[in-house]
Amino acid sequence: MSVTLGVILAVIGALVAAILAGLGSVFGVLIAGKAGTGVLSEKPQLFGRVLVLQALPGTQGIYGFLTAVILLGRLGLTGGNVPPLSDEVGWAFLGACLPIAIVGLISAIFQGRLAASAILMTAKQPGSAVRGMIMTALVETYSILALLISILFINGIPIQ
Amino acid sequence: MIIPMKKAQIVILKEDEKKLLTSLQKFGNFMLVSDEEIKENDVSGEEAYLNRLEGIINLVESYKTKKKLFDHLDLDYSEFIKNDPSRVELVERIEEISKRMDVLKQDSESCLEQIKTLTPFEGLDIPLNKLNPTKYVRFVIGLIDLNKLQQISDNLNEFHLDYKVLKNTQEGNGLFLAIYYDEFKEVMSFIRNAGFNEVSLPKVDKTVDELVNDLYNKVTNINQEYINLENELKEISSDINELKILNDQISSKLEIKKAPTFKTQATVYLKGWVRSDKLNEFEHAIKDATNIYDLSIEDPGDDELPPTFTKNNEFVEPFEAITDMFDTPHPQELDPNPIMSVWYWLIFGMMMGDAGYGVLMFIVFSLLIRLQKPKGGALKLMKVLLYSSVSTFIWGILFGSYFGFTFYPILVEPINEPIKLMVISLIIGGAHIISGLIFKMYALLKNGKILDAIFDQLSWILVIIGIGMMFLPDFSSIGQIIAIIGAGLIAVFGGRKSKNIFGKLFGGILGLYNITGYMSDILSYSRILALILSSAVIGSVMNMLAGMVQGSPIGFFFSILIYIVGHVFNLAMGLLSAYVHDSRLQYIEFFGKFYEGGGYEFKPLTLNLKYINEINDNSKLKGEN
Repeated sequence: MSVTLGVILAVIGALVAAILAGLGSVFGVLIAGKAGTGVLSEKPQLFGRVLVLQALPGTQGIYGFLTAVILLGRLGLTGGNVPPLSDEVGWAFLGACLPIAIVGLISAIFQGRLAASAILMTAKQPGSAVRGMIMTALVETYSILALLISILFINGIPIQ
Repeated sequence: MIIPMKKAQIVILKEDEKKLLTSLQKFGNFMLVSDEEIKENDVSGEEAYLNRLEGIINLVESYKTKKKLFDHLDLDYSEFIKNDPSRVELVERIEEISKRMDVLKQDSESCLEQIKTLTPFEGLDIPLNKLNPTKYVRFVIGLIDLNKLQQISDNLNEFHLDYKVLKNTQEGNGLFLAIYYDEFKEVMSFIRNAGFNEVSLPKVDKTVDELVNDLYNKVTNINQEYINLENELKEISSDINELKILNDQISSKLEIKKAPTFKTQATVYLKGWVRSDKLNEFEHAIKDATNIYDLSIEDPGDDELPPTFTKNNEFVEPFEAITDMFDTPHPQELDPNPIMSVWYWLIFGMMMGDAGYGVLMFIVFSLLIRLQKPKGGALKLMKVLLYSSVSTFIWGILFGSYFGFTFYPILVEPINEPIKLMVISLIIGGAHIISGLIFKMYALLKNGKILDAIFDQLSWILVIIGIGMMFLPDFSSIGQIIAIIGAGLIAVFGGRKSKNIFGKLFGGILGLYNITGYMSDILSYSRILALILSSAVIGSVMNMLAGMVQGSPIGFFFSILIYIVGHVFNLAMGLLSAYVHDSRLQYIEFFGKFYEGGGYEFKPLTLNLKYINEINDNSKLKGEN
């Protein structure tokens, strides 16, 4: 059993997806959370709605994680059997991970900003929390598209 | 379906106003409106009382000894409108108690504070009023640090004085001095420099020990009274429903007081909207209150926009909340709820896509509805989730997914066949959008706009179906023909409404550009695949993690913990995502095709119930007998 450069590249791809998209969500949830704590200090009864809005930018991290798990599954690394990958295939897997890694990182941060303003809107008008949720989720659409492209490529790239 | 509204105007005698409003409130289907400048009644008094009452209810609730799981409060209407003075008395008594408790708390604190200042001087066995200056001697009481006192004790002995060291406490050491008159000033300045603080004690005919004893007795008495009051509150807590009824009575009366009415010297004029299917009951409600009235009922005028009231069956009703969140339907358009509810239900279940989660959702939300008894929007949301648990279960079986484990998938296995699942998602999306276009077609045909229905809706349906069929090898040529017919209709007739000749010629061809809009709408449904995959993969990762730690008894315990925490987390995130993204698909992709909105909610004058779950009306039955 040998770990080829191809395997290393593919694993780096999986890690990049999990790390960058995860970091994006960290920032996004942080930005939304900061706005949330400010609102809760005045209106603690809004906790439920604020929490939901704060959780929205957290999905990109899940998407990155998901991509990493699917790639590891495709490589057979979860079972411990590593197929010998050529360098080219390794590069292809690394590339396939980039959409969710990059789009996830950036969209989560911007979604966090939008979630923060939706939280402020909720503070003024508690009834409009769901509208804020939907508007915030529009940003997520593009990370979903990126996730799909990553997954479709990971599934499509031939290993042998 | 949307219930049409009638405009009603009532004129009655002034003395019947309250009776009529009460009767209309019970009727609950009449929405008062005001167009003139009507001076609103001052309700600040009631609102302040309601605020106090809420505080009292919370206080009594905290003393409730037995908390019932199924706490259902229902009441007869005749009982509800009865004014029971004992309830107001109960509130007064509780307010008295809570004020008295506050006073007692303060008293006991101040007693303890006094005890704290007196304790250093315990042991001084002279009544305090005997400590007046005599001819040669002055008496001083105060606190000093014990170490300091030892340092200066030699110096002190040089003066003509006597002193007694009393009790040592945290505050300091009590010191009693008897000083020769001539040396008083010198001694005082000397000991003050050494850190002595003079304390003045009340000049009463008691020793310090007696005083402290009295205070302790007082504290004991205060505590006893406090406990008694607490017990009384505990007893009262069994009558908490009386307080809740009072709260709802007052807030219902507040609604009546806030109702906009136009008054003249002797009459009152009411104007508002009433449901057209409740006209008989409406007139009965007025007759119940008074025999002298003038009522006119007419259709809304062209320049008036009546409120929108949608009436649907048990299944569709909760989904109205989803639509209303976006926009209230216009009273003249078709109610989108019956068709939207089915799609929402279907897509929600698909996004969750796990039979185990379906069962869990069913249990959790039916329990929540039973136990928490939510009202209004919260109840509707929970019902949406409860109904969607069934579709979640069905899709879960189709995907063969049970708490992240896979058994015999019937339709498709999400993790291993994502392409197939994406195609299914897009087909669902296409069908969703086509159903929106058909809905619009139907509405246009109903209004006699046959050309619009064919050229703007049917043409696009043909294009979408045609392009879809082109992907199937057996039907690709037929699909091509259908798509071309559709595109031709758009290209030729799309510009028919344009005024100038160029617009008529090229408007349709430009209209074809909308194909990108339809394509991106349909591709948007690929999010269904993404959500299914994310919950399926996280579920199976949790199972994998739990499987890894199994083996020893402790590991077994941890694996159960991972199963529970992991799946609860996954379920919660899945619910949030499905709710948000399903709503988005309805609002943007689906409603964008046909929905107009722009109405406003029908908010009739009703009983404002916060605590009472149900008001039963037996009077009707009695009246009929």
